[in-house]
Amino acid sequence: MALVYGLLISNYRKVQVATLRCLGWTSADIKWLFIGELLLVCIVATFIDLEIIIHYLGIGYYFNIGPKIFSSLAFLATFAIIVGVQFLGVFVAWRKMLSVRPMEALRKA
Amino acid sequence: MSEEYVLIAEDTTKEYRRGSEIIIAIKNIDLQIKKGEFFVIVGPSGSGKSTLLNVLSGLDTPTTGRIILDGLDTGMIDETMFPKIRRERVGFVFQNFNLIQELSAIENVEAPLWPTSLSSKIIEERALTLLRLVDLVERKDHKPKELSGGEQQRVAIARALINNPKVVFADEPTGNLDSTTGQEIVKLLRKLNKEQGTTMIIVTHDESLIQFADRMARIKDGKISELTKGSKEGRSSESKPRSEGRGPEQGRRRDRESGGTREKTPS
Repeated sequence: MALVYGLLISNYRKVQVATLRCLGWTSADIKWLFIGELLLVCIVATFIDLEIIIHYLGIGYYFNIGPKIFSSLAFLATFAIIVGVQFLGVFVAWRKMLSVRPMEALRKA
Repeated sequence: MSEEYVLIAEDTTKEYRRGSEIIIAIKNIDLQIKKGEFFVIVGPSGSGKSTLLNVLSGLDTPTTGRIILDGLDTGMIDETMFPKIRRERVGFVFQNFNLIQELSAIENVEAPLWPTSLSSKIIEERALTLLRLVDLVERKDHKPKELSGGEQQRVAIARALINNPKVVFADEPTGNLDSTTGQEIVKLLRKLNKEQGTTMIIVTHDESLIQFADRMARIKDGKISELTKGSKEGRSSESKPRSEGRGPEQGRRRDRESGGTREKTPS
């Protein structure tokens, strides 16, 4: 979710980032602005993912079709992978933001 | 001598490489813009005027020549120093206003100073003063989409002035406005130029804006074809642009050096 969101905002906010650069914002200023926003999305996405995992395990346990024993190791590994993907999203978006040149702000729509 | 000029372009050329083709966007430009001047660069679409603005403002680097902005040679400045220079010395007004839609008018005006160490109270006071100056203080809490085009551009002008810049670069500031609103915006820029002494450099294709200029440069095919005084003082040819006096051989020297690639000026 954060990966998709990160890619989306880095595309849709290209002009916004370029404008901020024209106004004298440094890469670090822009980084913190967008990382803050992405982390918020990341946290929401993580809770949704967590909810899905718990439901999946619960359904599997109840109907006896999933893992019979609640494996905390598997659960933690899945959770870690999900969080890792969220941070990958943040990283990808951040790298794309940094590549935006201030001149983009002057491009006509 | 250079102290009276806020911006000097010396023999500036900007080329773009597109595959094996070299596109010369601007060629051998020489310009001196005085402090407090209202300078209009006029030219048709594709003449190279936006490239000239990019280069003059330090957003882009010239291929050859040099730009001296408020005493600083932009070619000698470290890349990491540019944001600070832009924040302290330069303001921008865009054709599309480029306001941040999620922020209110006052927040948009304040935005350039948010990363600085100034207190939020001082920033707010400055923003309010500027919104008063552009007659928008009553609409300070409105979002850009709740404002008309002219109002959005006035917010953008206030934003460009919040850092007390030495130079404001305006790229087609009337381009997205009807003619009446456009004239109002230019009159406002002119008024601020006179009252605050901020140098304004306006790039436009609209010939009617020349009447407001102290001086104007006409650009055609990447070269200055005319450099004059503004009509208020009775426009007259100030100097023969150096680029006009240059033979095509000099302008094409880089192409020969780069292996005979085709030269093309933007159409």
